[in-house]
Amino acid sequence: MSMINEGFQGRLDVGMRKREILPALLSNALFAEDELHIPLQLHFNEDLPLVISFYEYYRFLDRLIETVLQENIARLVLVRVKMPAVIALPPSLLDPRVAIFYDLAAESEELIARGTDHLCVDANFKLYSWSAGDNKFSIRWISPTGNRLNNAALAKISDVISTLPAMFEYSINPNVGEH
Amino acid sequence: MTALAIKNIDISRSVFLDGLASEVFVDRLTEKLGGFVARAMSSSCGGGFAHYICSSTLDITCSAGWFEPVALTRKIQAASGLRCSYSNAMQCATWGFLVRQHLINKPDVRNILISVVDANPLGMRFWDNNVSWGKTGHRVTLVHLQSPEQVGDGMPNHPARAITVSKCNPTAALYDYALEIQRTMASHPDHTLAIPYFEEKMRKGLKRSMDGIEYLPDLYEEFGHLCGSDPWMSIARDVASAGAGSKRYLASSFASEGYCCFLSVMTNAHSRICIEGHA
Repeated sequence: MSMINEGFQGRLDVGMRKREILPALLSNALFAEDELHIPLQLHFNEDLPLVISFYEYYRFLDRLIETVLQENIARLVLVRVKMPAVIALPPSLLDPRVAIFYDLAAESEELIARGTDHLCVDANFKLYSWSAGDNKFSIRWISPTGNRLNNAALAKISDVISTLPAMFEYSINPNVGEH
Repeated sequence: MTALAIKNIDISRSVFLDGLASEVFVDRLTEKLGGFVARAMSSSCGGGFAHYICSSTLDITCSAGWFEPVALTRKIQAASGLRCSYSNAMQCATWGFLVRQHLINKPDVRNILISVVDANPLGMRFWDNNVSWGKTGHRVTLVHLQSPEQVGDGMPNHPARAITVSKCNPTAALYDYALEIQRTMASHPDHTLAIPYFEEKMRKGLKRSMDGIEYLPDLYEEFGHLCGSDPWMSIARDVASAGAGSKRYLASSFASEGYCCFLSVMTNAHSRICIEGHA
């Protein structure tokens, strides 16, 4: 039985943003005014736009995780979350079927070695000015036991992704051994 | 009542990580954490191993690209042969959420190594002193826990019963946390509570709500707030002063966004404690 790695990957596009008034949550005051020399030591892409806020990102995660858990699409979901953040994670992220890491690769490899099917929600969005995020995302179903998601499950995931200002596409087993 | 055994708590000050270039920072940390993993794995504890790194203070240093946590976890994996993952999502309570996912998803892997790493490599004022909780101390705290062998199937014996996590309302967080403490301690009557260190003004209300509960002293005046290391420092100090014996603790951390965790742990005559700077 060969492993299944299927799902969606895409990239935020600032040109696809819909008009929406958001709570003023994009500030991040970790640096004092006289500490702005510190960002000079950091490695972020100044040209990359902030496309969505923490609020919109967490709302997206909440919709996606709610859908995946309520519809029983996956019994274990790995989610990438990077700090700092300006608001708390939505309650669905605290579900015992969700495990949160900074990077999903090592944990996903461990679960593959153990033969455990899981969904990887891996978004690396630039959410504050100095973030090194690249605005890309991938939502992959990983099944070492060879199970595929059915079309209804894929459609439900795709519907939630469609709420993002983003281009995305489906693929299956793009690079065997990588995801 | 399910409790994880404390095999080892090893606490160091983070000054060895100050003022370094990011590559050197990753190398020093790899050396420290890799050594911890190697020692734990050579201690002939049966039942498999897993290693998780967590932090509160290493947030912007990671997400703004000063150092890449994957570089650290891959180096430690190469040095120790054991996969390891990093998380800072639940701030000071991250270690509890990592223990929870481990006990749920890999209950057969009985040795859990937690590295709580807090440092301030960029010298940010916020991470030394801020209006939310006052002084922050920085420690590297290495904890080796062992879950009990599961006897039979089903929830009554499941090791995940050792951990409780919750989310308090951030606008009334300390009030909510006090209720969580009362609720959790009510179901752990034979435990001594170890909670985070807070400034006196924050501690006052909590103290009032802990009447009748046995708890370890707040060491804020000595250390400041030690993020996820607080309960481990308290337990380590208690064992260091009273000597290792059989005792149960409820180790708790609480994060500014309201996440909190409570883990039932126990010491025995074989628990090893090392606090840098303490005899």
